[in-house]
Amino acid sequence: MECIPSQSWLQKITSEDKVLLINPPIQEVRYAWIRWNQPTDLLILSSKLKNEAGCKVELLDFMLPTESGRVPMRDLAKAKEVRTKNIKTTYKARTYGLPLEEATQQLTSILPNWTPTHIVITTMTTYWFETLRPVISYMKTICPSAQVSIMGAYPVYETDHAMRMNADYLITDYFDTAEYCPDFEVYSGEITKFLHNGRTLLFGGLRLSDNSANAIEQIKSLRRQNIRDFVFFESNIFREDCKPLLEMLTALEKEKLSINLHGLCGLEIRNATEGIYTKMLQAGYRSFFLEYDLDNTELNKDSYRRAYLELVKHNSGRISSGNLAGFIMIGTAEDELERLFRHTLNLLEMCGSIIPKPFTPTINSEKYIEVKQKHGLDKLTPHVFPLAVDNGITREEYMEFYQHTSFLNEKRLGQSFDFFDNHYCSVALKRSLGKKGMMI
Amino acid sequence: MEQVVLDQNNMKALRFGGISPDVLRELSGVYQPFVKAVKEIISNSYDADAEVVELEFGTDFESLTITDDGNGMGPIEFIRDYIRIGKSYRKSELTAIKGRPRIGGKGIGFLAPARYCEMIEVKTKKKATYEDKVQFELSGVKEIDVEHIFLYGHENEAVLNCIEIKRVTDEYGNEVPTQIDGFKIKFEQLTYHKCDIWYVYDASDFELTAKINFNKLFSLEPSKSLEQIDNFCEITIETVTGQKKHQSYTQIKLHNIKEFVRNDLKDEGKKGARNVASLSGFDQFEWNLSRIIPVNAKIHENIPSELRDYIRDEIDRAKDSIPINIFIKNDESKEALERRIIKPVTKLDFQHDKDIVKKLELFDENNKMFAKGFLVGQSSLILPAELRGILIRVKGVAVGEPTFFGFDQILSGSSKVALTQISGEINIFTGIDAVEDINPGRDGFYKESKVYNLVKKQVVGEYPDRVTGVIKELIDAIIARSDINASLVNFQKKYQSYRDTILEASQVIANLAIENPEVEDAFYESTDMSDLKLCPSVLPKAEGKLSSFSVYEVEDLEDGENGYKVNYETKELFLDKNADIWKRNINIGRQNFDIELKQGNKKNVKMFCQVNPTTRKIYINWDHPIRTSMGDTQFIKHCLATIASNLPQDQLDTYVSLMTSKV
Repeated sequence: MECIPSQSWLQKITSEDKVLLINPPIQEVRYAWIRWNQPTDLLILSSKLKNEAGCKVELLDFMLPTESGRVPMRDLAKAKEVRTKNIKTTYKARTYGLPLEEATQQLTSILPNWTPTHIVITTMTTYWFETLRPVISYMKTICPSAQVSIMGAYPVYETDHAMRMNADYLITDYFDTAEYCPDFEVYSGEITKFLHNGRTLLFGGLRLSDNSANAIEQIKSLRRQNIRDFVFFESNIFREDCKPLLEMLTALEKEKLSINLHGLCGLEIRNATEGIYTKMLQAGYRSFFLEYDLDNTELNKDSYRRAYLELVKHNSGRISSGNLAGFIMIGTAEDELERLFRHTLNLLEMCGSIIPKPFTPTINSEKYIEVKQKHGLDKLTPHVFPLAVDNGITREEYMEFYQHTSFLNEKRLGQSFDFFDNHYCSVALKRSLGKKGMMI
Repeated sequence: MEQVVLDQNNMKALRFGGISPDVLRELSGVYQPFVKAVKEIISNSYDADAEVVELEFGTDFESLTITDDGNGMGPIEFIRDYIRIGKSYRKSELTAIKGRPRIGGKGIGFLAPARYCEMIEVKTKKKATYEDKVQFELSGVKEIDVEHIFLYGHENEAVLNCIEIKRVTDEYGNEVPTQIDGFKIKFEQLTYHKCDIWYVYDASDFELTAKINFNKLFSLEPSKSLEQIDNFCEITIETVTGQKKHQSYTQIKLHNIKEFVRNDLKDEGKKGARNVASLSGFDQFEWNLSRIIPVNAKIHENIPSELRDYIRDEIDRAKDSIPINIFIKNDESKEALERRIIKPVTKLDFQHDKDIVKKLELFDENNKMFAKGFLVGQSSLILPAELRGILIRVKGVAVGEPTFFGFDQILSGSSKVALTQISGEINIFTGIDAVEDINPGRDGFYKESKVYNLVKKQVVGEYPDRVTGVIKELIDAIIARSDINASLVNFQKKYQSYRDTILEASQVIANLAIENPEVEDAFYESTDMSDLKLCPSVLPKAEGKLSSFSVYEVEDLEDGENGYKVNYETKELFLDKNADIWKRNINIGRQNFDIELKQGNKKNVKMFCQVNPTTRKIYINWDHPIRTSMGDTQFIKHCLATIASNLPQDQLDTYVSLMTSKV
């Protein structure tokens, strides 16, 4: 096994090589946003490999949803156990993604005619490593001559741990991909399509930092493949006073592309400028999932109010309450249960639904290292609340909190009423919430 | 450009003297369904030596334009031949240019679409200068003027400038002495006989447009005479210039296609249709048309190349330009019409599969009747269902539906099932008489037809209650293969289960090794080699009906599907070494180990298995009694678990005795 920087790894790839990129299945206790999983890093690497090495690239995306948007999921016999201060909590663990056995038929039919020389497996986080070793062992059994490499957060930050995975190469830093866009075309390739049993992309995941002309070209290309839904994967979509976003929205408007945009992440509402939501609506944004915005420990009312007024109150069209959601961060070291409950109710006044976003410590932070040493790397998944109990809130209480938000969201999901439709039920609920601290 | 529209008086020449509207209706009724009417129009193109015919439906199937590049018609032919009921004179059996056997024949082609549209519009042009004749009956006169014959039906005098009377012959072909001055002919003797007046006509200057209104044609009461229809056909003749002068063509447009036809064509059919009757109306139209016009067959790549060439060159006779190229145009594309034949589910080889791939050559004692055909059998149901059976074609045109000559009603059990796995065609080239042998709708042969019975005898034998002949050979081959295939499926299942077990074990071992690296380390520790590695290997052995087959593992297997190829003829089974299903390797700790199954009894070895980390081999004692108790896959897993958990095999006698119930 060799730990190798990305640039050196890249030099090993020649135009003669056949590279199979793998987005592996993952083991988790919960995965709510599965249909929006897209291996952007692999798609960008595909562009880079094709351009710089001139090699053949195919993709095996275990997380590619079916046409109905579902990703296969299987319960694991082994539960995930976490013990803090003598309190033991068990979580049912599942494998998300196409089971290896189901990929076998496609893979083994392809291999006699297209045998990869390199297999690159990506990792999105440092703690999603549990499926790597079986996948590697499986791939090396059916394709013994291929060299297997692991890239992404896991080998970069947890190199020592990743050495247990039996890969041939651990790529220890990130590829320089600034000049490249995701290679969505790879999904349409004959072999990749066959590996996915004819399934293809459901949406396009783009980066706002991409040159807007490039992004428009990619959108056009995806539209030709009948893809209408797009997401910008950004940590802060409103950065630089919304200039990159505005540039993109203007370009979209100019091209008159009929698309659906989904604001799933990076809507840091404190940076939103006046009128930006209206422009987003005009450009085709269908959903707005607002990041949790606090002013010290309380909700930043101004930012939420601005979003509410532009998206609901002054919007001549109509946005359903399911498409305007507010994240609420839970599982931090500073959590206070009473405050969290209060925030859910406050958020419901302005957002049609609420989505708890469990917290995990930033990689290599003090808390990260503490959790890793105390519980193990796999317990860094936010869904087991690594900082719970120590912060005074038990995991059971977090589960209750989940149930509480589910109850509130269920009203919307069950379509018994819409928080924004001003019918009797929604008005009554809003009034009752008002007693607990009306914000608008 | 000169244009002539005929007035009512001129149109009188285009009456159907003496035929009642009822008869016309009856005649038009021969062409059922709609596709047969289209076929009749294309048959005329075919007989006119057209290379290409294009069909283009208008929006919502309101119209259909059929354009060919055939010989076209001059005004005289059009009036004399096309819009008259019945042929004016007998034409040769073969077409003049391409030598195609003629397929049109009833001489009532223009009536074919009468039930399906309100009007047809014919545009036709001939580029050639040609010699032709008109018949004239002399009634004791010495001088005649034949100008009116050439103006008959159109009265366009410009046409006369392109006609030159050359000579006159009697009914036996002997030249009659005459003086010819333009259209005036002076006979030297008084005659009362029929004679042929030969003329040369340069048709390249004229395009004829005719509109035939079926509504008017059928508007009369049945009891009335068609003499009373005086303007059912409106003819326009235009003089053409430029490139058009050098072209020959005929274009027929069906206007205002009737609602019931359009509804049929628009029918969307059933999703996932498995037979033609469930396809969309348009697809059914294409299917049927492809069978009743001589077009090229759509030959799938699974058909052996020898048979492909035979179908193209010998049966369809593509090299002789016998098939016509038909293209169906729509808004987006232009697709060639091809006749669907069997698409075998597996790639066939003419040598290896000669038991189920047959070329046919049929003839009678005097070589008067001559036909060629093929038969293909396969191991699964043929889809669509309409391809099952033998399609008999005469001069490339199907007669009725595919048949087994009634034996599908007589046979039972596996023989009957086998019939659903046979498809073929026979094309009769000569010796058939359309009137004596085939019923008028071309739905089938008359049972007393000699040709039909001759074909039947050569294909299914002469006994009324049992099948012999080539079909019997095919049925027997299909049944035999079916039994072998069942054993093959079991053989594959067995090997796939071995492979799945190994793949599963590789993942479990890898998973366990994350926390317990010693699980993998055990494969790298030297164990007692004893004699297992020296024992002979277990060779792949098939069971059941496959047991008589020799099994070979080969590199680079050509045309193998699913990792194997069977030669039913030589009883050989070839396994593709590169196909994953037959592989027995496993990855342990980044290294590849080969698993070898050994005949331990040969050396009296008691161990389950051994591993050699140096050569990276895992030996499994396939003769071990515990395998019988556990089953093959569990035993493979058990052996890998034995190594991974470092079990002391020499101390497990009690365990083995208990498991095998042997004390």
